[in-house]
Amino acid sequence: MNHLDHANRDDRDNRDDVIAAFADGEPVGAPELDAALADPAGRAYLIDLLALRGLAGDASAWRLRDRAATLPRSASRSSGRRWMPAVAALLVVGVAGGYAIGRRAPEPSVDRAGDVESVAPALMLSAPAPTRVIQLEPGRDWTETGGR
Amino acid sequence: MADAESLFALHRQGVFRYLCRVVGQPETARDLTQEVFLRVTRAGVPQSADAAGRRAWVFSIARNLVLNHQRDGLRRGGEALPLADSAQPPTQELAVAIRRAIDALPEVDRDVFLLRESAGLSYDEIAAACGLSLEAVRARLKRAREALRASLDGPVSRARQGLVSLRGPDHGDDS
Repeated sequence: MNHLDHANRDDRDNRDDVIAAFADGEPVGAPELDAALADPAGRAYLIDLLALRGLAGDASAWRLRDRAATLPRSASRSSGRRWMPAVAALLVVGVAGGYAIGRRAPEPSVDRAGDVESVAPALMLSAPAPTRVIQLEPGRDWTETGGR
Repeated sequence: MADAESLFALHRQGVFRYLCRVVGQPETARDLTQEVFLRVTRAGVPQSADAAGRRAWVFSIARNLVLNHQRDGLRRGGEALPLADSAQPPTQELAVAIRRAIDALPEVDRDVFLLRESAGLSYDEIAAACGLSLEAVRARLKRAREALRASLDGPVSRARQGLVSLRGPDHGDDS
């Protein structure tokens, strides 16, 4: 194998390594990914990896890693990382907002058995004022027609 | 602070999937998964490690356990692979072909591949679980994939015609 063949093989290996890292959710440089995906052989390799994963792997494990990798919209755009700060900011706002809302809502008290025992007093509506008081005395007839 | 229970909740499914792929039998994989987390409980969770480190630790236990299980199985005469039945739908033959191709991989290459594809570990986590360098993980993963592509050339070509995505198909809950 001559020098040119070695160089071509190295280029192919580097390209495939970038593609594999991208498919595996590992950090890759946007320019390197751009170049790798611009190569038809690189795209074919990516599809092969994903086809193999569909056959022999378990793609639900991909979701468990919580890596939101997406293909760039076009090979000419190397903006893969520009959206990350915006997404991170949205996540922070969402989590902070959810936390704040959760803090405002009173938490139910829980007894040792884990059952929800009562709702915090702040949420309990005050009972309406009684319109009529019926005094119960032992031995006295408390029905409408009896008693006072 | 992480404890055995939280590790169980986090990694039970991934461990089961990995073990299922290695041993090929869900019932055996379930038993081994239980044994993994028994050992996690007995050993005590290393609190000094971060989340990735604890994950790698759990899978190193799983890997060692299944390696011992397989070696014990070989000494007892081995577990037979499910035989292909020509009357079965093509997927049965494909499942057997995939299983054979994975089993034909060198042991460490197979583990690296399955830890990546079935358990979803990162390269760093695989390196920690298998006691390898990062470069070794990349090299072994590449070698495993090339070997599988060669063994499964037909199925891969057919799969290439279908839908692919980075998320892949939904395999549902295995455990």
